[in-house]
Amino acid sequence: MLALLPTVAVISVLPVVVVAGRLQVWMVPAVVLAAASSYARPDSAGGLVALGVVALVWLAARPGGGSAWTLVVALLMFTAHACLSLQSTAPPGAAFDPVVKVRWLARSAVVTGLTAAIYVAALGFRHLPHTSTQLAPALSLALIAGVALLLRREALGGRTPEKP
Amino acid sequence: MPDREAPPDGREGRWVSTQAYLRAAVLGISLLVAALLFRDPGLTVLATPFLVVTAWSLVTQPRTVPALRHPQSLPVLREGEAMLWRVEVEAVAGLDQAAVLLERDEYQQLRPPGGARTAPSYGDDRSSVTMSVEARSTRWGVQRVGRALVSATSSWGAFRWGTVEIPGLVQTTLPLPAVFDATAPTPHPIGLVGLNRAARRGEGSEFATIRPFMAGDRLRRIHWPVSLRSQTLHVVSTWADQDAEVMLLVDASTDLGTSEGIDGFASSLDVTVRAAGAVAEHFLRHGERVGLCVFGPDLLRLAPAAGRNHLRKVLTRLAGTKVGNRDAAEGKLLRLRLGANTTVVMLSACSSQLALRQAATLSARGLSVIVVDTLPQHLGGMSDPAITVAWRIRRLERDADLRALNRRGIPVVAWRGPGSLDLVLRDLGRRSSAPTMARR
Repeated sequence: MLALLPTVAVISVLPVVVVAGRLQVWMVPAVVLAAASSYARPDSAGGLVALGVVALVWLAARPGGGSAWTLVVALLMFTAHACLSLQSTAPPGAAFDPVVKVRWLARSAVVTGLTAAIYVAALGFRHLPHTSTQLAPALSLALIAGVALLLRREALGGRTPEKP
Repeated sequence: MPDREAPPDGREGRWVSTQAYLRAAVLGISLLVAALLFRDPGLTVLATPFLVVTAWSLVTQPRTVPALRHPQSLPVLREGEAMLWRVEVEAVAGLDQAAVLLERDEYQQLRPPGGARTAPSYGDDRSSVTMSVEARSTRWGVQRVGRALVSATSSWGAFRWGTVEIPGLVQTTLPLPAVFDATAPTPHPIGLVGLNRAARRGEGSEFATIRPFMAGDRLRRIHWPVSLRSQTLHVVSTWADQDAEVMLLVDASTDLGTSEGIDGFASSLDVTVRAAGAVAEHFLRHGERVGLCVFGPDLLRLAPAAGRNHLRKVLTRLAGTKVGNRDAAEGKLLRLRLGANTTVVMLSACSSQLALRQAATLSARGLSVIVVDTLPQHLGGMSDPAITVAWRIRRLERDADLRALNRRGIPVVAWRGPGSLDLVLRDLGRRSSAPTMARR
């Protein structure tokens, strides 16, 4: 199940492109090959290439910065990344402890929430003057730095981020 | 299972970044740069999860190499028994999860089946992350087991410690003796301690008769009721309690069939070793002295002795049995220096000429020899028709060899567990009282 999730997540980008942007012929084999490479060798550069291809496909599809499908694609890419990362932490065939599953789900929920917040902020900046479009990346970096500082403080306090 | 911290201080390996960390960092930074270049807020959204993961990974990056504790010795098992193989990884700050992969030996069953186990770290509340794999040994022998790979990862799998290799250890699995029992007494009881009634009267516990007192009789043996009635002293005489010496000859020169462990089909050597264990256990439980001689690539000898500790020695020697054929062993076998009243039980698949010649030689010297045929009923690995035909021809030759042994007066019995030797032991007991001619 976990091994298939990254492949499913990468291939799911194609229907999103069909709905939200313009599907070009080269995108289908590129995404399928990317999905296959991530499935074949999860703990290799194949995952990076696969997600890079997905980002290029989304950029080429030109759906527009404010499309809600951007958030969907971001979460699909993150899902693929998280599943590949979790897979690579254990030997093939190993069962994960329920605590580990809950921990990863909780972390993913935090990341999803932050991504959604950045998306909402980006939507708001679209109505500002043209020069203010740089605000979205700046806000994104500021938010991430804030989260990092919070985590650092917790780490120095001798506690793990999520203790079951 | 005795544990000791691995030398020098149990800390080896180092933390290195993983593909997961590289992926998150490269994607996050690239997408953010692209967002700035193309002034596309959508790309910022795509970059956000990867930037968060990268920052999270950096903040929780472990700085200390954890100590590893693993077993330094393995317990002695019986076939079919399981042990819990355990490894502990120190729960240093930032360690999120540890994983172990235990290598499976040919005759081992692991639980979980792949031998892979993961365990989370709970922070500072517990000092170590413990992972256990259940390993069940399915065949006797001395194997090198317990080779394992251990690793640990930080949050998001961004940094990995290891993989650290744990070397394998020697483990002895004792054969599980087959079910065996015999009601017939052992021929040629010669010692002073044992459960066999001797052919002569002497010090013992079993009543023989009441006879007149003679010089040398112990006073506590006087039977007062009879002495009073007869007006002369009478004593109770008993049969002497004696033991016998049994020498087990184990033929390890060939191994026919495929061994599938204790749960599957047995090879001829499996049956031989388990039968030898069963016979040894039976005779030792009855107070006899049992010796062992395994002839394979090397000649393994164990001098006759009695007691439960000796049974352990016998089983340990049997566990070390290896298959092989060295003709030079024959010369040593012929100089076994066995006592005249030793009962020799040879356990063999009867397919090697060496074993059959050995039985004939010992019998010609006047020893009581029993050949136990340990060829299993079903032999694995006979799917090829050509091999099946060849084996049928070989069996015909083998039957002829066994008939020749019978003509020499050597009983050959097939191993069938309980009662296998009863008839033969009784015959040998009767024969031992008759005059025999032997070459010395």
